[in-house]
Amino acid sequence: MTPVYEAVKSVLTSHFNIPEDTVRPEATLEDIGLDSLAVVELLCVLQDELGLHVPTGDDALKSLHVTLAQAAAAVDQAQPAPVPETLA
Amino acid sequence: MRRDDIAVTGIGLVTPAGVGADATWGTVCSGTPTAAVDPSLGDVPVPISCRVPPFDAQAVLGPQVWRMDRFTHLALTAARQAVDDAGLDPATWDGARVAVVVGVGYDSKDLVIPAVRKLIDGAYEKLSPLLIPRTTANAAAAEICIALGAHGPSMAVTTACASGATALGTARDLLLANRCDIALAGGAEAPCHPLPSACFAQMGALSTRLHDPEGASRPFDVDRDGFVLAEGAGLLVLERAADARARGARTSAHFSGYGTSTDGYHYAAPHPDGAGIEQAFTAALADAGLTTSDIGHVNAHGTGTPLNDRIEGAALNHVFDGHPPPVTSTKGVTGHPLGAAGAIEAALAVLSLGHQTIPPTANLQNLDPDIALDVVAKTPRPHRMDAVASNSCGFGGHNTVLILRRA
Repeated sequence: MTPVYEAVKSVLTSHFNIPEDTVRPEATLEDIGLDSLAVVELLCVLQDELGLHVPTGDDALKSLHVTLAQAAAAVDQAQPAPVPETLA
Repeated sequence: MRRDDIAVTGIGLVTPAGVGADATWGTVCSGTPTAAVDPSLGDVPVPISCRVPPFDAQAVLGPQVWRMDRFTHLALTAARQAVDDAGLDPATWDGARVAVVVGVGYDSKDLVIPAVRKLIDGAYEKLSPLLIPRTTANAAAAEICIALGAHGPSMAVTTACASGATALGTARDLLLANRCDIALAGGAEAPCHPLPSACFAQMGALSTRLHDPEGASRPFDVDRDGFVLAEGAGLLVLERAADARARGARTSAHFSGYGTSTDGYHYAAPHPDGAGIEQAFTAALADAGLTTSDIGHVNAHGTGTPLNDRIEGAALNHVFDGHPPPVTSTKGVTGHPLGAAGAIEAALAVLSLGHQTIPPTANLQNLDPDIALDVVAKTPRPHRMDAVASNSCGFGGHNTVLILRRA
């Protein structure tokens, strides 16, 4: 999986104390026991602890039926494009 | 047993003196102070506090600990202890008849510093959506209700440093009004953060005994210079005595009297003649159907501030007509856990009755000559007593007296 997925997984296990074996790409946010406020908290922790950009004003994470793989992809999309090396 | 006796059937204590009632009682009786330099307070003027010994909240409370502030961790842990001690099974009780009343003196500050930083930076999208539900004073009561399946009346009660005692009195009233059959009540506070520490220091309320942190909390001592900030929780299971007897519960004590009053005088200082304390005592005695001669011991508020201890000493002399029974302040060991204090001390009063022993006031070397009290010091004192009073006072002039009798 992507680095962002791994980051999401680490926050889910370390901050939200969700058992590692239940955090699977195909599991939905609801499956792992998050509610809508917990999803916003997840986005805050991703910003605070990992410095990630998160989707804002985006419907991607508004549904608890989104899978973790889809959620991680939405967060991945929100990251700024890497600076091309040719500029260096 | 009187018709309106309320039975104490369970005790839960999470205090700097220990996690559990037995651990707390043992440390309190040993007279070992728990005050120490607290690195988590940073470079505040008085980095001294009394902290609960480390315990694994997640192991006790489950994975949902992430959504709770520390005062809720302490409250919920104490609540589970109390329910276990009472031999109650939340899986089978009639939750609609279970009340939860938790005294909290001050709103929780766990998230305030990072939140204000984000606010100043305009980083609104980084603010935790849980800041409000987890820091409001009712959060501990609400989480207890969720965890234990309590669906009767529930609330936070807040009367500053009398909150835990007022919560117990409120729960007694709920039982007597037949609004519930079981009440889980007490207090919780986790104020060991830089902001409350620095602000209490600005008030001149904290001991500044930085050269001797262990000796900083010294109620009634001539050299006392303020209280020591502490955290903790105390929860009791209360039931009408007849109900407790009917289910064969072990009754630790009867909670027989509750009196409360308000100075209506100053936002922080106690009334100089202690009239409010006296009024609360008189009301509690009348509620219990007792007189001063029935009270064998007083667990005092005894914060260790110069003003509190002197005024409380004078008020007790007035109430008891110059002959107060032996007094202790367990805050010499525990420090001052603000809104939890009254509940922790009520629990200790129950244990004192059960053990027929008064714990010592730690650090009391030289009794203030202006305080005419028999304060138990140095070692626990075996003492025959049938009823004990516990006194609590809060900023704003709130006074609460609880009376407990041998079961």
